[in-house]
Amino acid sequence: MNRKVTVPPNIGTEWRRLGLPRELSIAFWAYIHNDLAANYEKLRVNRDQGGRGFKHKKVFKDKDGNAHLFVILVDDETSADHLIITDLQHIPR
Amino acid sequence: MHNVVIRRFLGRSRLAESLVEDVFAEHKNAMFARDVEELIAECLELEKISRSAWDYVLDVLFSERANETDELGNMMKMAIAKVSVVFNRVNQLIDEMKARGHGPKEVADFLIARREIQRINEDVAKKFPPINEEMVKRSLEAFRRGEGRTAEEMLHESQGHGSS
Repeated sequence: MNRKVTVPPNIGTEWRRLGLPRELSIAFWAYIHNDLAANYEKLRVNRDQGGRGFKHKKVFKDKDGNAHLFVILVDDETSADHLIITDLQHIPR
Repeated sequence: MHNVVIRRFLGRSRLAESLVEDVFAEHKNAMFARDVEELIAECLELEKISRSAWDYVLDVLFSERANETDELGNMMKMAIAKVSVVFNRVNQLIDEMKARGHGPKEVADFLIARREIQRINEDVAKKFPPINEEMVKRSLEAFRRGEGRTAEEMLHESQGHGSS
């Protein structure tokens, strides 16, 4: 069974602070909802060197074609049933 | 093995570092002015190579291969820091040359190139930021308190159906 993806409140606050366009927001969270846990075995290999789980990078384009990189740190060690998003960074090109 | 652009950049940054140290060590000799001009020429080449390398890294970073870029980012950070030091050292040599009454050629181009190296250095730091340790700590504290939402709830919120 897939692990449950958990978004702590501070990550949600950070997300809203970014003020990204709606379509980008939907694309990102749809990807996290549909793909993160489903592809966990493949994604977990990119271990964080500080032993805090795994790092995952994903690029989305907005409706104007501008690329946006998202970097998330995912803790998969605190709970065997959860994937906790512990850091989130948005990097526009 | 990294591509030719990156290997060339790493190799030339090491060469420039070595050359500038040699000139610093022997800068009393009669060839000083000529050596500084050669270093300026090397810096102008190095700026072009740095830009090519950074453009390559950006192309990989903003692609489906983004997850392969951590090592590239670390190499880029180290190499561009080295190049920045080289440019600063050459700038010192130019000042010394001016103090001796010589006006090296291509100083204006060197200063433009130096600004470009500073820009790349800053951009590398922005594109490969460190983990936000405070964010990680607060996230785990919240999880341990049982706080958090699912990705599906975040998706619904993005679609305009959820609470904020």
